[in-house]
Amino acid sequence: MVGPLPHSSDTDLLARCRADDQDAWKILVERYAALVLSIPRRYGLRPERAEDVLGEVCVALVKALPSIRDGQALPQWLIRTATRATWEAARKDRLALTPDDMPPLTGAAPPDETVAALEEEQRVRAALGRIAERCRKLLTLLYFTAPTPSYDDVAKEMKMPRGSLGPTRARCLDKLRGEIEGIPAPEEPS
Amino acid sequence: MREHPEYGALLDHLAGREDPEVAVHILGCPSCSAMAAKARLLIEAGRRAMAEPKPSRRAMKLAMEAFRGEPAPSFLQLVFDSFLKPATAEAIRAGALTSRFLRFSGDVTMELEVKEGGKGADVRGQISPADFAAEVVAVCGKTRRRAKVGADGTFVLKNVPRKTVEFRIGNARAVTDL
Repeated sequence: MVGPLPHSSDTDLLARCRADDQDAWKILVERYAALVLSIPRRYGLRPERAEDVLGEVCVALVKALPSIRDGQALPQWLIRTATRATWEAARKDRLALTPDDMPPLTGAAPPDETVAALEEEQRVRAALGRIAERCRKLLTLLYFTAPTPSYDDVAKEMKMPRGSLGPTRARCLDKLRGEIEGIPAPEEPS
Repeated sequence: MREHPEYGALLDHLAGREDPEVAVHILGCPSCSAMAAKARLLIEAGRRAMAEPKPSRRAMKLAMEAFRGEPAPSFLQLVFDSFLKPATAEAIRAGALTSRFLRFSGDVTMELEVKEGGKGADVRGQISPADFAAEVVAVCGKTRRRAKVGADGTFVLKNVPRKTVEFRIGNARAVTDL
């Protein structure tokens, strides 16, 4: 095991979970709950139903712990299992969920490009969670807020001179890109 | 613009602070065009991620219970945990209770837990929004069962026929088999 538990790799956390380490499980859940919840939410399930999907995925993951040893495979596994659980929840509730930005739910595995896009989203989500709060706030104001605020508004919100935004932005973007690239890339679909 | 734009300026342009010079450069520069495509994905992913609500306490509770090997309770189980009798809780675990989810017009929904009662089914439920109606009526032929709806949207109906039942809340109607 390398480093403190919160910074452990997924492979390490999975190994600790197999050894019945509840702290490791909690960190895995905190790391991936947003990814799993994002799938039923994007398909339009109500919040309580989306939470049920998370619970079901977690139950399935506990059962699958002996067979998932490579942490790099975990995001894909979670995406596919959450999509399946969302489909089952929709079928049980007799809901037809057809959002514009997601493929139709059919009970089959989601297309590789959807899995890849959700993995990319998870890398960005995780990277944003790792950078300093001030950088996260600045980048969120600059790029991740709609409608996009003006530079003057960003400077005011950040309580910094407008002229400092450019250099600070560059440093924060470097940190974000470093964190995104530091997270292992997904395996090629087989 | 002859030189490649800074990554930050490229993101600025794509995020909505449009810069005509950057736009023209991207059109004529294959490497910047490729970088812009990746940057668009970053912006989309970041916007989605930052707009997400944080996982609720219930979501985290369900996730943690999965590891401890406890049964993942349904939403209704959690709602009713505070007043379920031990025998009823045992029935839930044993699968003796079944659940239903009904969608009325608009965003009005009803969740039901159906249990075998003395003269039909005992039905515990919850409507959402909780203040949509003050009373729930279950209609099966000439038989009617009524229950008041609590402040949290919950209600209990006793001895509902185990047949096709129409649930009425206000002017809304939904039918299910019990």
